Amino acid sequence: MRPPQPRQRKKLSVTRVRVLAALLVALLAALEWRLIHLQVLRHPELEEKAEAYEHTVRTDQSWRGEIQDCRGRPLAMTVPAKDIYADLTLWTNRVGQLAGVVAPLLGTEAASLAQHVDQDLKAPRSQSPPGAPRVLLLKRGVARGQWASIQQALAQETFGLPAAKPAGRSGAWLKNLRRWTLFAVDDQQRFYPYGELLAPTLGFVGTATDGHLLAGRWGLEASLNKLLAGGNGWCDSSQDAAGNELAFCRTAEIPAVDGAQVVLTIDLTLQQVVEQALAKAMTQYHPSNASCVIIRPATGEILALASLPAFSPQQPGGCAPAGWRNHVISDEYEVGSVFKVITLATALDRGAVNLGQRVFCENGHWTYQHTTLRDDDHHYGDLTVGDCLAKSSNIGFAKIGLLVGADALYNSILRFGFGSQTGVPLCYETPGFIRPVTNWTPASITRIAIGHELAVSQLQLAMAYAAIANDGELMRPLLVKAVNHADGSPWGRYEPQVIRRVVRPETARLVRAAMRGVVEHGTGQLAALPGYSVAGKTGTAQKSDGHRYLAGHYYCSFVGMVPANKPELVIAVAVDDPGHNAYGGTVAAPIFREIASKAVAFYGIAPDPVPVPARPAIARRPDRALELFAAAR
Amino acid sequence: MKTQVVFLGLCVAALSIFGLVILFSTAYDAADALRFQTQLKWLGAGMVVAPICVWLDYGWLQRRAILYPLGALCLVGLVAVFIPGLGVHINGASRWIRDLGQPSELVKPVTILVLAATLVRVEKFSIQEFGRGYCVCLALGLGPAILIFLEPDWGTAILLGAVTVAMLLVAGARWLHLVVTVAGALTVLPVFALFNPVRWERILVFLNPEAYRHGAGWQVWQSLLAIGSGGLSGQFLDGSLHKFGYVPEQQTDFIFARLGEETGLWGTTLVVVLYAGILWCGLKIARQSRDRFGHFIAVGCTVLIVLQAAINIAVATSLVPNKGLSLPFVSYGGSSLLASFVCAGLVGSVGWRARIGRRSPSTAVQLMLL
Repeated sequence: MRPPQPRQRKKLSVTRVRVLAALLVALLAALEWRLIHLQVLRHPELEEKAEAYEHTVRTDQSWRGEIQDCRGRPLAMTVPAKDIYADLTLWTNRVGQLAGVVAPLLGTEAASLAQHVDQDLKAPRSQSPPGAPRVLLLKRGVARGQWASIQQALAQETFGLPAAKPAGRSGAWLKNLRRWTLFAVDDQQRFYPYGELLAPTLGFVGTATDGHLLAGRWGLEASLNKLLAGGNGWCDSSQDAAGNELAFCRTAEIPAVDGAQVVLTIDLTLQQVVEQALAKAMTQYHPSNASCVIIRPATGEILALASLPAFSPQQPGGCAPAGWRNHVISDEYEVGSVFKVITLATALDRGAVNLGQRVFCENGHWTYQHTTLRDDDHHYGDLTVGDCLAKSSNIGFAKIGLLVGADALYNSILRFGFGSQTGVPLCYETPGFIRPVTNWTPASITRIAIGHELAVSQLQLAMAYAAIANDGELMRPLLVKAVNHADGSPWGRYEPQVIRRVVRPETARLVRAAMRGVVEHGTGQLAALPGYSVAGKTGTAQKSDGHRYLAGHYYCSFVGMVPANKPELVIAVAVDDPGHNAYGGTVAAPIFREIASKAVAFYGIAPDPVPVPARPAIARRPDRALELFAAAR
Repeated sequence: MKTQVVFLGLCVAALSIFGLVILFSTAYDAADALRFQTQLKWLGAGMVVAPICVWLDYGWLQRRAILYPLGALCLVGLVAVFIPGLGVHINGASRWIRDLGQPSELVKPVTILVLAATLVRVEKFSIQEFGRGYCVCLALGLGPAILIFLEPDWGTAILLGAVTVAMLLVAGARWLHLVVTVAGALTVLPVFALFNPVRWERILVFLNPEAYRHGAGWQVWQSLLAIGSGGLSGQFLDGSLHKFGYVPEQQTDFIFARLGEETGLWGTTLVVVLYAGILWCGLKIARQSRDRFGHFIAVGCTVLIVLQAAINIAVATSLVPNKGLSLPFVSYGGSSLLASFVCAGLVGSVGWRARIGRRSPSTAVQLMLL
């Protein structure tokens, strides 16, 4: 081929340079068009997507508030804890080895831990850059001390690397493993310093799903959750790719409001007294449950609220959910004889009877409207109304009920607060059950008057007795005395609240006088306290399975007040199913006496001015004290 | 012709300063601050080296006594990266020699020189012949490109191949040969990519970066988000949030994403226009060069700079699959910056000795260049 001549070559070269220039200019023009496409046409879409990566909302966790007793002793408190995480970037490829090291520290099985981690490693990645650290929650709510010991153990771990002073890269690697195999994040843990005490009422917490760390799941923790949880703070900000906040980008910053301090009316000392007494009864009679509530009648404050068997609120999973039940408020019973006080109060208030009036008790066997009513093993003839209560005559009270009349009795029962919730701030409170008077059979009044054909809760009964103790005024039960801010400064108080007057004051006084008879010479003599006048009423109700009554299964109760003429405390004790030959007067009344004797001493309630014959067994006690004193000298 | 040299110098200076500002704005920790200082030092070196190149007569580079040792040095360097003790293995590629930098950066200008010197001899009688002319020149250019390809550094290899083809085009090779070469490359490369999972994934990512945004497409997708959120006028140096670690390699290969977000379409267009300016100056200088050697040097170096920039921008905007190429004069990086300055200096040296040079440069112009 002939080489091109210089002129031709020159021309060719110019053309070729132009071609090259055209190609490169076209390339640059294409780039420019792409830039216009991205930065002008797609700008809104891409900017929004970029912002989705950058924008972040950070939460400032609020501190869950304390629950205190009426003297400020903490019943439930929040303590700092740690959540333990694993940095999975270190775990990849050595899951088995690290799980073997870590599992004993966390108290788990190495195999299950390894499986858990493996599962997470295989799961699809979340929205984070490829190099971003991956973490996995291994254990929640670890105490800080325990975490410190885990850290110490890890700091001395060799992870199978040569133990003798590793240097350079392997040294750095070992340091990394020790520091980041596990790491901890702040968490909160609920701590109940008195263990099982008051557990069904306090309740417990669980893992929250609403952005808080803890959420109330049972009892007061659940019903007052909003108050206790407080409000999380948050800030609107931006983050870098690794998820660190860019503090200068904060646009809004709302600090957290810590949860309120809730002060209960419960007195811890009294609660302990009550639970000890009930625990003793639990070991003695092996009932299905035993419960007690103490009310201060003048205010309606609940001073103690015990329901056994209890559970540990720290580990509520340790017992079946049925064991969390608060028997005082959630159970409803046909209470039997203790209800006669309500019938008596109604009858006296309406002037249907007076205490001295005589009632013929049919010698223990009376058929009315084709149904037969008995007084077990007793064949009473004529009894005064007061003795009817003292001896707990069913027939006597059936007749008193007839004298009152169905409508009046029904209305009075409703006015005493039965058939509706008392309004105590706890979940799962039963309203009890009483049929409307229009659905009553002709014989119903004789059964309702003696506490059958209706179901009431122990708290309702205690509040009704408290109304009689409070000269006829029914109070709303107070369980929360005050709510304070997190720093303890007062926020609000719950004042005693009169719901309604249910009987006249004179009536209340007369009923209390009749109830003194129960303790002094009636069915409740085991409830008598030396030096104090006690008014009360026993109840022994046969339990039913919903269709018929069960032989040998009784609900034994005693509701009493002390001192009788001006009651300071109303104490309701119930033992559910203590076994054969058990009566309210033999099972519940002694528990009442044990609790009441300590309660009057604790509150410094003055003995009655009128000397009351003391039981010899109790009268010996001062002598014993003197003996001990002398021996000590 | 000195006008073009001055203009070229201005374009280079503008790009360097632009790069420094952007690099400064990406700095938010101590390591970044150190990067800024290092870049300043290398820029200083570049500002010294480039005028020296302009001042020296490029003609003596044609001597074998200089070209052969340079070529040999390049070959040694390219082989040395594979020697375990000398080469540094980073991210699955051996591109570095310990404490010295990337030999491929030195290879780029040297290949252009060797090819230019050969083309001068071949052009007059045999460039249009396939065996004696075309293939010899192609081999000279593609030889180092293939070594670089094996590192593997596909970006630099393809760039070097494209520069070779461009120089052959200007030298007057036959269209048929050129078209067959380009078509062959376009067939072979996808086949290689198909057998290399990493490259194949990059191709898939480039086709739809959003679908792969949680994995391999993260870098490109974040780059698109950054450039796109810049909009028309940009979010300015203090308003950009995507610079906080979202785009990996945002100081080096992906500095264009940073630039796009902070300066918007105005800034990116300015950068494109500056490279177009370099292209215009370079080709103008090439056309009016004193001799054919200068002509080829000017074409080669200009194409090298402009094409590298174009590929880098195309990667950042996801027009081509991801490659590890820096943006000349703008990206952080010592040896690549210096190589770009040497190339610009060679073009300047050709321009300084052009045929139609009338006026000698004023002291003011000389000062500006410095």
